[in-house]
Order: sequence, then C-alpha cells, then structure tokens
Amino acid sequence: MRCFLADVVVLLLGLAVPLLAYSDPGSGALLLQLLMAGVVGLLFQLRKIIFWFKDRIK
Amino acid sequence: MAPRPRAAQQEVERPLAQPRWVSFRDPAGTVLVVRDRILRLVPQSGVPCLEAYLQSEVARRYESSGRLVGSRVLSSHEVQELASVGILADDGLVLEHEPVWFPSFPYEWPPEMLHAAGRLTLDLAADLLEEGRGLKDATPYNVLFRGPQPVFIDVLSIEDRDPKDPVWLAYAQFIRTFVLPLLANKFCGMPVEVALLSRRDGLEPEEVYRWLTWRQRLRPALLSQVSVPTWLGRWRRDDLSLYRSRRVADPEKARFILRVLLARLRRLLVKCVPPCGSSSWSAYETSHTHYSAEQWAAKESFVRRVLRDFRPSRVLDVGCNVGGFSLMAAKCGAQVVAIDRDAAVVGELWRRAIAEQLDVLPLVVDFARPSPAVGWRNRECPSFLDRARGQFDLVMMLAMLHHLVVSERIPVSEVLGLAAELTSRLLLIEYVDPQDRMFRRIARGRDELHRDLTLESFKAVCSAQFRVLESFRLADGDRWLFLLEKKSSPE
Repeated sequence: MRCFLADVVVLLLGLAVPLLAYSDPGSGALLLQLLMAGVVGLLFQLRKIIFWFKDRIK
Repeated sequence: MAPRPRAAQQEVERPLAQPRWVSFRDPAGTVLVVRDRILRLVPQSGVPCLEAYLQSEVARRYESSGRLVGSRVLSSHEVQELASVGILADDGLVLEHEPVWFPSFPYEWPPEMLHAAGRLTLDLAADLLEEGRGLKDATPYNVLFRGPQPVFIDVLSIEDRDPKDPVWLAYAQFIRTFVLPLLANKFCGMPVEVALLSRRDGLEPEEVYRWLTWRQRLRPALLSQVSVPTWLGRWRRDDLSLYRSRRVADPEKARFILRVLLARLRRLLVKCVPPCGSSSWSAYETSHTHYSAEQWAAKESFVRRVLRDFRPSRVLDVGCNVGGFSLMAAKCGAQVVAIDRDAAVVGELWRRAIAEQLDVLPLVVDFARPSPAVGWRNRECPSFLDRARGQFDLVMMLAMLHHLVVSERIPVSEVLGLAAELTSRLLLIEYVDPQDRMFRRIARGRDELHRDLTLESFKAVCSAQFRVLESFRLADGDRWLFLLEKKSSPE
C-alpha cells in the first residue's frame, strides 16, 4: 500500500528532474497518460494482491 | 524523428565533397546524404546503446522481415575515406542505411497507409518494451514505404528506457501525427494529406475539438483523444511541474502500465481504420462507362502486350484510379509508383497491392498540382517532381490527358514536356478526341476552347520529343493509345 501511495504521489507531482525529450510531450495528452498510468498502476497492485491470495490458498 | 533519409534518397548528383544534411532535430545523431548513400553519424555517447540494439533479437527480426531499414556500421577505413573528402565523423560511429527507392511523405499517403505506418510504430514499440527499450518519438516521418509495405527507418529513435519510468513521452506525438489526422479524416472529412502537408507535427487536440459538434465530442474515441485532453490542457496549461520525470518503485509495474497503454493505442488505431472509401471515381474501372466492353478489352490487351514486350523495370502510372494497370505492370515485374489525387481510390489500390503482395507504391498526388518541396528552407522533403524526374523507364498516362487539358487548362505540349522529364524511355498515353463523350462532359459546353485539338495536332506535338512506336485506335472509337519513345533515350 505504501508503495502504491508513493507511486500515486510520483505520478501526480513528478520528481524534480526535468523530462528528457526532444519531441513535444503535449499537455492534455500527457496529463491523460498520467491519469491512465495511475489507474493501470492501481490495477497492477490489485492483480498482485489477487495473485498473492491465490498462492496462499494453494 | 523528423524527415531525413528519405529527403535525401532522391538527391540529384552532387559532388562527393558536398554532403547534404537532412536531419538536425534529434540531438542524438545526424543524417546526411552523399550522392545516393544515406549516412547516419552517431556521437560516441550514443554508440553503446545503438550497438546493443543493432545486435538485439527485435532488430534482427524486424530487419529480416523488411520492417526495419537495413543498416551497417562503416569500417574505420571507410570512415577515413569520408573524412578525407570533408565529412567529419568525430569520434563516434557512422551507419550506412540501405536506400529505399522512391521515398514518399505522410502527406502523400491515403489514410490506409498512415494507419499501416502507425501500426508498425506501435508493434515496434511493444516489442522493444520487452527488451527494455523504447521509441523516443513516434511520427510517420520515421516510416517509409517499400512498395505497399511500411519500413521503419529511424534507428536512432530507439533508446534504452529507464525501467521505472511508466510514461511514454512520444504518446502525445503519436496522437497528434497518427490518431488525430485519422480521426479528423473519419469524422470531419479532413483529408489526411491536407492535415499533414500544412503541419509538420500533426494536429493538436484543441484544433480538432473546434471542428467537432457537441455530439461528436462525446463519442468514445473523440472524447478520449480530443475532448478530455483539451479540457485537461486548459486546466494545467501553465503548470510547468507537469514536465517532470515520473518513476514508480517497481520496474515490472512500469512495464505493465506501458504494455496496457500500447495495447490501448492499438485498439484505438483499429477504430480509426478508414472504411473502404468510395468516391465518384471508385467505380470507374469496374463500370467502364466511357468504354464499350470491346474497347476496354482492347485497351487492356494493348497495355498488357506493351508491358510484356518492353519489360519496364520502373513504371509511373499517372491518374491510376484503383490501379488495374498499375497491378498489371507490377505482375510483369515492374516496380510501380501509382498516383491519383483521389485518396479513396489510392487507398483501394493500396489494399489490393497488399492483398496481392505486389510492388506498387500508391500515392495521393495531383499531377496538375504535385506535392511541393516542404520543410525547413524547403529542403527537408523534396517535391514529388524532384523525386520522380528520370526515375522511370515507362510513364503511363491512360485516360488522363483530357482531364489535364480540359479541367486544368494545361496545354498538350506542356503535358508531354513533363512526361519527357519523368520517363527515361517510354510513354504510354491515351489520346481522347474532343468528340468523345467524356471529353464533352468535362468540357461542359466549352468545346470551342479545344477546336484546335485533333489527332493530327496531337501527333505533331508528340513528334517534338518522342517518336511513335505504336498507335492503336480503340475499336473505332474516339480514343487512341500511343506508345512513344523519347528521342533522346538510349537505344
């Protein structure tokens, strides 16, 4: 859970390191990608929890 | 990465000591053209990453299937040779790419070809992800077409990725240059060639948003790629903290996020697939309303015989329509470039060429207003005519001349003059007499303007630059086929 919260904070606020890109990263599209990354990251965590429970049951 | 090797491949002969720099946007390397050689200079800092990639499984797989341009590292001896004629190699590495014959640009592609280039970009990005690599940009200028098949040409776009980075920075560029032009074409009727000719980096979501009705803005594909990014962009427009690096704790999680993102983009691209287009010209070859069955059979038979007898290796089909004659030439072993200004018929020809695996490159080019030279100093993407001049040993202009003469008001001598620049040997041209039904239809009562155009006057104009090898009247009709040979052509 702590890991997930840390990821959410990082995705929304970012690190103090600037992006290294020469193509225009956009604004709305970048934000949308960050939001999607947050949602998919949550799914990843849930999936991990489900697999953990499955292993325990076995 | 921006347009580059293609820009050069058709470079006319230049002295070896005058290389042409065609790439300058990517700080990781530059591309230059020395005569017909495409060279990429990579500084020392980028060499380990590039060498590792060139030996990777993905590179081998894509190169052997023709989806990635072939590359080889020049030996130190070859580099010294280049250095001796004034090309600096610094302390890095010099790659030579195999040239792709007849480079074309995204603004000359029908939606089907832009879609195919986008799919190749996503496939490569997904396969690279599994190797810990990624694409740092995603523009259609990274792709060329060899016949109807897309080829990825920008090897410097491939980079090692930070394993904990869950963001694909090229995502926005992929949306701007592939997805939005396709969506604008599908929902707003905006031709892809118009969107991409005037904008190097594609369409912005805010731009497309203005063209949509409120109802369209809420359609799923448009909502996610146009409306939501527009609203989000307004919300954080001036927030520069957005442009900071993001990393998650678990590399597997970052990879999972990117895998889902790329899969989602693939599904999105499927929604952008252009429907089988139809235009006023789509049924031209199947209905042959301007020919009797006998005339059409005679025309086909004549063209087939010319192709078999003369075996041209490179053919330009001007006004190709859905490409029956282009495909016929390709079946006879020629590499064919087929042009028409109607994107629907060009898209249909691309589908046929892919299905039959024939070497036909179909392009949306209006012969009366061919693609201009564009880009910085007009040097990044040469004009269509600069690329085409002298490249073909047969130019076909079937049922085309009267459209240029009547609708575009171009004199016959001008048409033949340009044809003589494009072909190195043969011209197969259809003469349509002003008495012809189609001629009169497009003349719309302006018959008087073409009073001087007769079979005799046409032959006289031809004789200025060509000699007539064969002429053939289509079943007592008002149309003749002429096979002409350029007077200055080698025997």
